[in-house]
Amino acid sequence: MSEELLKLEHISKAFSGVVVLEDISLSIPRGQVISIVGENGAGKSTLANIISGSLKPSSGKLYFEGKICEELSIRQAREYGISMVHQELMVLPELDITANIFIGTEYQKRGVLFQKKMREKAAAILKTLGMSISPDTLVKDIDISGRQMIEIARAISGRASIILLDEPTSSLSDTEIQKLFQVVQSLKQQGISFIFVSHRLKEVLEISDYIYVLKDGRLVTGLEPEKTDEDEIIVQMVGRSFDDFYDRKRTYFGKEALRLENFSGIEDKNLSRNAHIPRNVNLHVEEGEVLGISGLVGAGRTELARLIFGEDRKESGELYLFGEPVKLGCCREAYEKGLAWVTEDRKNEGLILDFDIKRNMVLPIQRRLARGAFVNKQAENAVVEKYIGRLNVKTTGSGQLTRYLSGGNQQKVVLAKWLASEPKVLVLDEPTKGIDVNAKHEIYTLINELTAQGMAIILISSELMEVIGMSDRIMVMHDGRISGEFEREEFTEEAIMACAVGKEKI
Amino acid sequence: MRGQIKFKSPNLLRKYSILIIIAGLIVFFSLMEHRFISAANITNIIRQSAVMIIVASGATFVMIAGDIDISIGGVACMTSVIAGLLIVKGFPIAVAVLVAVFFGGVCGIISGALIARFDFPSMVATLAMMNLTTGIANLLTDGTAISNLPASFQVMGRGYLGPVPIQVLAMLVIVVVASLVLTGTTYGRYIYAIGGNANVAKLSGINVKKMKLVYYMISGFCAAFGGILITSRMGSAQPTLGVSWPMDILSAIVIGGVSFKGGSGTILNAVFGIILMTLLTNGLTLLGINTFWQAVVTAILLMVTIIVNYLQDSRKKRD
Repeated sequence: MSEELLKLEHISKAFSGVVVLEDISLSIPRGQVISIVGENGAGKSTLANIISGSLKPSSGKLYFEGKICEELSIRQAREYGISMVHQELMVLPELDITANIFIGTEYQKRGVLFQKKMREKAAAILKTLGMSISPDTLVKDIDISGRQMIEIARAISGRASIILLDEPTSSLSDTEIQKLFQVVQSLKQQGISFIFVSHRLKEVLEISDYIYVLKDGRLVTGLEPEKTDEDEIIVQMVGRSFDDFYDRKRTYFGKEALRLENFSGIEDKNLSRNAHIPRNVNLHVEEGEVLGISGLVGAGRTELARLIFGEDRKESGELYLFGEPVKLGCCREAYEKGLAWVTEDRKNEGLILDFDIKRNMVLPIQRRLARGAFVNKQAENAVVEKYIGRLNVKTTGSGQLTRYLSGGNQQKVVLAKWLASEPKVLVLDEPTKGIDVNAKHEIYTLINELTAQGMAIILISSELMEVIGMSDRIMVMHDGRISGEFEREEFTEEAIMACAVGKEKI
Repeated sequence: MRGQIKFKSPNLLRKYSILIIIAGLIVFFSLMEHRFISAANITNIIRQSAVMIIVASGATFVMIAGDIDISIGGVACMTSVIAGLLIVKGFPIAVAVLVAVFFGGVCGIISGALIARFDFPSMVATLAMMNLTTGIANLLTDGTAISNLPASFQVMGRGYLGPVPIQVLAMLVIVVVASLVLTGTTYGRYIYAIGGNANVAKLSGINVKKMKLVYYMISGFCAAFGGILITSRMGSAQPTLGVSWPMDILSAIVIGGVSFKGGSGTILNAVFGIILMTLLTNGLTLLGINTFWQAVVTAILLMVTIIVNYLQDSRKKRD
């Protein structure tokens, strides 16, 4: 019965000489759910992108229904019925559902659209997905889980053989997840296969027919969900047990560093950034403490950081630094007050990729080091060399363009850039996103060192294990609000997830 | 190591290719037309380039920051008309020049403010500024030139200090100062950072809005100063001055090696670009090739430069 739809043979992929995937061979049978799990940076997304045709493998072969595909382009993949539902939703909020479903595959003849036909088809698809909503609804008027369903609707609107779901549950509540899984089960009966990319292991075990574990770009093992459990998967993913990897220990207990009272941003009804705006947030962090901020994608964690640093406009609320009320109109003022902010997207917010390591690192501090208006090159070089050494940045020299560094080393340069400003409060937004396991561990060690010297750290992360492993206290956000607070001894994945999806703290 | 060896060579080539082209042009035109290499013509080329280099130095700040200033011609025109009017009305020359340069700075600040505060695309803001300034110049003069400017004013454009024309000296001073500011000061670094990625610059604590005012102001100063030098040389303020500057000067800067995308380039790139373009027009004119052809040649040169830059960039990104 399990006829083979797609087969990968010895697939490898390298970017700028850095090997991201190595010798991957796996197969996707018809009508099954295959999960790919692994740490951030293990190569899950790269693999998904190769299967969906948006990246070409450096070597290896792909077979679809037994026939070799020489060049799998996005167009070719679409003809085969392979489509991808992205984690960052790719919808056009100003258009209606019908238009979003058929974008690029419109029913048309010589440029004339068959509106009615598309609308009927859209209504039918929505019905199979169990959505009671008019196809004329503008996408900006539906919530995030609905937007995701629209992407699935788009995938099944044409020929569908394989649907890749990239972290599909990261912004969904429990009931929404159950609904999604029902849809997956019923589409499976129709012979559609799913590739489920996730690090929510409980869900992976629930929905999968087979589980592949990726680590550092290699396929370490394949597991059958009935014969394994979460612990085994974690050991396979990380290569060591949880406690060895996240060895958080708080050693410095100081006074309160930063406090927010009733922090609210200005409401954004259209969710134009696919995220909620923080409302009535109260929190504090002490010197030497790591405060983890957890929550689903879109819960408003990054937006909270933007609000703290004055980059988004505040509706109300007070910010206290070491007990003093402070007004921060923009991030520059925050930096002057001893805050620093490692932003989420290192390629668009953290680094100027065409600048070398040195010029990136000194960006926030060159004024402080300068003699009058003139750049102080000696002082800059000293700082740069110090932090390249301290963070163990692997590079040919401080003159290397950051574009050519691996993700982990890029992230270290961003960290160095902010550590060089010697902050008292450090906000880390997804500091280990897309970097390899070793660099990740180095960053965790660094967090321990910095807090041991009295730095206060706010750690924003969508990786639950990371937040649990590295925080002293966790605040959970849901739909822009704080839905729970946990002390270290209360940390459990279940309790935090429950808060993240909006339930009361147990 | 791999990266270094691989990228050093195209960079070197890119840095010096313009000098090779300049040398080639000089040899070519000298062989074709003996008047080209005469002392009179060489002085002429140097003097013509001097003013353009001054204006280009300011515009280069804007280009490195990833913006564009097409109002340079209009600003030069309006400010030199203002200087001319003040001189004719009997104001001291120094006052007239200072007022003109001041207005150049004001125009720059206004363009910068439209872009920084009201989010105008830089093309649109400076296009508006260009029309505004040429309009005002024509209103002030009724569309005719202000001639008979006194000989004492013409010294700037025609005089010599020893063997060196004053405008060439002025150019050298501006080139040196501009280079120093760009490479040696934090302001210069900020301009490169903004051109590299304005979002990163902002999140690194750089006051991007303020810097926009600063570099547009610098461009305005330089445009006004260049305009006054030309007016001084001609002895009359023309409301048609600088009409072709946006295209001529901006393409010379790009051909010289400053990227349209911002983040890279130096004042020296702009200097070589201007010299190349001046040589080219001068040589073609001496050969008797009509000016329409000159426009075609420079436009093609611009396109080729940008295509070459694109190809080098995409190679860089692929590796």
